[in-house]
Amino acid sequence: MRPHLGLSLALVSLFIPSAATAEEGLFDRIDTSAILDFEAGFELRGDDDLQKFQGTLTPEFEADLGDGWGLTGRVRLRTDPADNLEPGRPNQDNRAPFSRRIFIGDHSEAELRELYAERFIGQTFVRLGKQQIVWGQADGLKVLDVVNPQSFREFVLADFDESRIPLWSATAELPVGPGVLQLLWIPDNTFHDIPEPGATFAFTAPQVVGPLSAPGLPPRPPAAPITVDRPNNLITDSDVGAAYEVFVGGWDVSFNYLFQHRNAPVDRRRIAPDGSIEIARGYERAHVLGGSVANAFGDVTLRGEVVGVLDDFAATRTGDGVAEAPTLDYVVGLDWRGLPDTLVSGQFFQNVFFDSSDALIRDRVQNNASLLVSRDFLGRRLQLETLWVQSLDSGDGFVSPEARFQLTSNIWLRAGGDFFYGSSNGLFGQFNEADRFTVGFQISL
Amino acid sequence: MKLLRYLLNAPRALLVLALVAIVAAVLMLPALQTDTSPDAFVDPDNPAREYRETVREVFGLNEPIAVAVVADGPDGIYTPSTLALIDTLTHAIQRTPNVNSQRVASIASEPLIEGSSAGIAIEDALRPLPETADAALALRERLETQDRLQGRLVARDGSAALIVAELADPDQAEATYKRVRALVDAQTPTGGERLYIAGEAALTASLASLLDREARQLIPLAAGTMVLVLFLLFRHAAGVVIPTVIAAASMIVALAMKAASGTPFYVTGNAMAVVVIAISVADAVHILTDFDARRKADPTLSRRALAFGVLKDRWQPITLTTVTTVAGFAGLWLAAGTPPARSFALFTAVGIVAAWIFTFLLLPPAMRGLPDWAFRPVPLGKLGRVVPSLRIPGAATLGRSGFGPGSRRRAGSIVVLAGVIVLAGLLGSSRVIVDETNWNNFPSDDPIVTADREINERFDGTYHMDILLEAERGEGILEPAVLRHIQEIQTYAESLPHVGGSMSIVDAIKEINRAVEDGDPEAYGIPDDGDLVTQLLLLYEMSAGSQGLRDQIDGQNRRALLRLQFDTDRYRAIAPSIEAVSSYVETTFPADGVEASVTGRMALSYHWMHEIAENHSKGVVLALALVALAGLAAFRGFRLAALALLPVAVAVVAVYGVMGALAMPLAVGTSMFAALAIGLGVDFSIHAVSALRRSGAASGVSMIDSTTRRALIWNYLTLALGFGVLATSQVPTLARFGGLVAVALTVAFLASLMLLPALLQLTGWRISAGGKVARSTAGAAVVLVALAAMGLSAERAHAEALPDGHELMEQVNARDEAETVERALVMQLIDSGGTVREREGRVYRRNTEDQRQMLLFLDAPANIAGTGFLTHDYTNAERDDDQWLYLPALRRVRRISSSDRGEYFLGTDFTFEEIKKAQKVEITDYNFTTTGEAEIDGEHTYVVEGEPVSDEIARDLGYSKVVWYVDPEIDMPRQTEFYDLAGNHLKTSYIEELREIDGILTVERVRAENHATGHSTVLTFEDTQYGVTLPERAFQQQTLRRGRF
Repeated sequence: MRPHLGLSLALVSLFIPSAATAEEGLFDRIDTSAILDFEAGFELRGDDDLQKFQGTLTPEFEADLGDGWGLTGRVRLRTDPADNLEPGRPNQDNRAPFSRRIFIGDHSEAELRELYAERFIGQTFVRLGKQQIVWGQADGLKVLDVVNPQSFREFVLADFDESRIPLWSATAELPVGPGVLQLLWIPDNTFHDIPEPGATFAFTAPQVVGPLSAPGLPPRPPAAPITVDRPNNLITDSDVGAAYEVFVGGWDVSFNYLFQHRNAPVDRRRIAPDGSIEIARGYERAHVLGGSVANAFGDVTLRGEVVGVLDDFAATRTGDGVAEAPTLDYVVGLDWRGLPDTLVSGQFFQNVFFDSSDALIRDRVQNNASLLVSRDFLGRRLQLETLWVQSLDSGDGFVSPEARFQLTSNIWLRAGGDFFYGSSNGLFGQFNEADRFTVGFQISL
Repeated sequence: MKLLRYLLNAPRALLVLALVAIVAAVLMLPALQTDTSPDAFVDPDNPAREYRETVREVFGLNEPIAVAVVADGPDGIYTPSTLALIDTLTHAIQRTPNVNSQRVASIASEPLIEGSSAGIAIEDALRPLPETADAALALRERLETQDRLQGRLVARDGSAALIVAELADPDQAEATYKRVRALVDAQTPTGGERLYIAGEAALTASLASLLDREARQLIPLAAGTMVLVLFLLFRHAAGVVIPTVIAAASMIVALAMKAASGTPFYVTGNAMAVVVIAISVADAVHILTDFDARRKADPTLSRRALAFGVLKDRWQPITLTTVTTVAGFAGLWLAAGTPPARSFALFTAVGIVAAWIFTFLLLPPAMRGLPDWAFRPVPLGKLGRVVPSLRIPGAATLGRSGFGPGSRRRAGSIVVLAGVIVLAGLLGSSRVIVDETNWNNFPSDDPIVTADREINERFDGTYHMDILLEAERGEGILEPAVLRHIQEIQTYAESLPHVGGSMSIVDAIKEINRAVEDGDPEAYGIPDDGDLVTQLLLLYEMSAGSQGLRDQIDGQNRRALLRLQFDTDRYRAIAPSIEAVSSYVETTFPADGVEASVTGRMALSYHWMHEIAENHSKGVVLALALVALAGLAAFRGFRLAALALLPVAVAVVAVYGVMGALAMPLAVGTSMFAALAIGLGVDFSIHAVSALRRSGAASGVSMIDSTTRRALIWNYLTLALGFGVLATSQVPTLARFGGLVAVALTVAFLASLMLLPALLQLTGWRISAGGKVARSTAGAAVVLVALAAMGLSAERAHAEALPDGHELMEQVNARDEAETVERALVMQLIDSGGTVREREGRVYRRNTEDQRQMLLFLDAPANIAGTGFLTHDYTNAERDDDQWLYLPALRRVRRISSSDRGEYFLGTDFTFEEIKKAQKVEITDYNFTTTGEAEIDGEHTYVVEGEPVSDEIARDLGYSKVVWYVDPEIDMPRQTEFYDLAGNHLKTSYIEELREIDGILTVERVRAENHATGHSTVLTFEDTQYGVTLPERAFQQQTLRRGRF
């Protein structure tokens, strides 16, 4: 039995006694449903005409266990014969053993997406199990949404809900003063899924992967061997955090704190005994402080998020290829709904890495902006949406238009595209070859 | 690059292509219609315009020419000679071709209605013509009893008489005006009378001939000036001929597209010509200047190599100018409120694209293939020695960021100066007012201006607003109640400023009634007996013929016209009165089986001026935003886009500043100026920024190279001198046009060449070239298309305060609904084809002391399960509601602004507000009036009309009016009708099932039908439980995320 399934069953069994005592039987109520989703992506300029041909079935259940306990579970079964996004069976060194996906052949996989029990204990709401913990609400790029790691198999193009990697964790929310205090304990040491070289969305930009050559070192091959040193002690390596959310004077305000192993790996260069370059991948721990505000003024909603990390890392040209300094990351967004059925949302992102070394590959200050325009037609049967993300420094960016049409209550059709432009050294421009048109449908079962 | 090579390798193919395009366009031109009428400014489907057509058809009313006979003697017109003159003129005008002889009104043609022993006498006033002073004075006494004629055809003080002649064909107004003018000039008044010609037809005709005359003189002069400047710049045939051909071809294509799309040539067509010519000349000037410079630098290079070098460097800025200018005009097109403005924006964009295409079709073959003599400078003799040395003072310093001592200070001064100009511009802009009058179009000493002043001082007014009254059945108008209603409107309207008088069938009826009562002043009123009214009219027709009153009432007595006379057409003066009358009519009709609609020239003018007032700034802002967006996408950098936008923005501010400072009102013509500033200014700024970027990439120093500078300077001179010529026009509109275009050009030019480099020097910004432009242009295009698809639309609302019915609605709101409730909800969304989409969910509500809280979760289908909506609706109306929406796909609680309350809730036909209020109403949003009673589903209801208290609330709610059918037994509206912002009946909601649960009357099913889309929504509530315990935490936003509480 694989470890994560064992843990799941153990968790379920915890609740069976109380459920069994309920008069109605094992469960007071159990609702099951599933979503079948298919999407095909056609590349415009890369080598592979068919970028993805992906079918996903996501069965889900919600059960009332009696005595106030609820249990929710969700599994994702995914198959993609095109096999370009994660060719073969990706290495899962970044994931805790009990949080890994199960691969069936090269094309298919199963993943437990959620399994948690929850109830109120007095005024405190407790949720235990595999879950997503979402902070922040920026579109396109993440700022405060740092708790769960992310899968970059489709860079940032997939829905956050799909790309966020759920973690085994315990959360408690209790009223404190005028607001709610959320406490987190996350023993699950799982980190970002980074596509391996050869994948469509494998990172190539030097600011992400580091330089290919550096003074005093032999050149680094594009696929240098990587050794991974991953924290794995459930107790001493676990993350803890807290958030205080309060609604005061019309403002939604939150203060957030997290002591976590950062989800992005830190790749240090070193010379292997045979004289070649190898990469030692580690995950560093840091104090993360943040907050958010939101309020509505007439047609306009103002949102803001900020995150400061005391010890963050960025790629440099010298030494082991890594610079360490605090970072400040924030976003200011304005949502405008002045026209019927229309949302126009603009965001400005800035990320400052407090290190003035010339060897730094990334810009010390990075500025990005995004514009989201969406409009509903035919009583929301047809939705048109365009997201445009632009780097204000290197001039690269991407545009993602999409049209969705609701055929019946439970069937949606969609068509769209993702188009990158700009320098191939840019965060977005590196995917110039991955431009694609997509078509797909989703059926609720 | 491949494409550029192709352009150079296939000269014949390109020329043939260009020729085919031009010939095809020329062939389309004959289909072009012109429509310079003022009506064109109102959408053809605007109700006021439709009613105006009805008025023309039914009452045969067309624009008139009015001839005034003014006599200043003590007896005024009441002397035998003056009366004879009036008589002669009337009959001469009746015989004038294109004058509708049946429709010439004067005291010589209109009958006197008087009482006599035989009943009534209806006689011609000037038959026989008074021959003595006494007879003339006796006529005066008789005429002064004729209220119908006083103030309309004869001045109330007797000092003037008016002959009003309607035209058979309004399109021939100009010729008819000339004939009448000749007729009047031929008269030799013997008694010192003065004659004036005015009236709407005369005005239209004068304006047309004036504009035509001026345009015929000035436009060739402007074109000549441009050709001359082009010649001075290039001094060779190619430099003059090619830009001219490109400009002409682009114009022809824009006009041909107009013809092909069935769009008429409106008065704005002239402005379109200006921008298209300007941009197309500019494209050619930039390419040819560079070409000449390269030839001079290296005469050994082949033509082909020269041309390739030029195209390689210049295609980007020229393409960018095209994209950004088109973006700007797309913004104006989206926001434009009137058909001519929309057509202007759209076809200017077409012309600009055509100019871009022709530049690349014609210039490469020309540069490569034209014989050498075409590029050989023309020897100019003595002048030849002067021209090359022509130096524009200070030109050499333009475009440099400066590198010597003191250069920083100089840059500083330029920026400060620009700041001062912008501030002054903003100050001036704040003084711009919206106003319009026809007199803006004429020199102040034009005879027609004097005539109009004289006539409107002495008479009730020559500007009309009409009210069309339509009864459900024949004879309906003659009901005494209806006639009294008409009389009330007249009395009310005449109490308003600038309404000099009014006329309707009521005046005639009162006069006939008095006449049959033997002239008894007491009888000057509407008879109480409807039959008597009919008989009086019959009597009149028998005596005066059936045509007599046909301009006031139709043959079936079903439709009547009430005409109000204004003594000015100045928008700001008449707008309040027009609004007051319209609102009076809207609130008191329909009544007694009669509907009333407002129309007439003044109502139409009001409509389009109102449109301009509402939409103008929106259009400019949208245009600037799209230019910025296109710039951002094109240059792929925030700073470059901002730099490119800066000169345009400064030019716009300067244009408004000048308008404010010179007290030029924002009117139909002047509202185009900002668009012109954007269209012309963006050209300079894009070329300047491209040059700065090129030099930044090449040398690290941002400056505008000498070739670009030279091209920009000469381009500026060509256009500024060309259009500056128009500033000398006698016609104020043309003079303003020329002057302001010159201002816009100058400011944009100076800002591009001086301000941009100065800013770069001061800020120390370095700009360098990015990647390929083609891809970024495609990016810009994607964004533009997406935006256009959003169909941004302008909305207007008119609201009028009418407090009433308040109590009924208070009772509706006070209906018991228990402190808490929990219910299951099924939503059925049914589209016009009958397709049903279903959603299931749960609703929770809790009322606390100071707020009403509602929580809604959707449970099925699976892909929307977990969607949640939470509102806190405060009893303190001052405080905006707080709303949150949770979308499970994003796992985010999103704050929603409370002005979204008029948005439809998740695709239903209920708005957020209606979902939240559940059959109740926010009392402070509306002014309520109870307008009647009605039976709904066999139950008695009161009809309560609510109008939003302000335009802003109307916009928030999405309604201009809501009508509730309130059943007082249950304190609930059984049916509700909603009217959109344009006043159309948008949707109706019905309560379909009601049940008493725990002593509380509960809606179990409610349906809303959208009449505009045919879509409907049924909400069915089940398992309603009142008084359940709902903890406070259920209504916290964390609950949305948790999905439980």
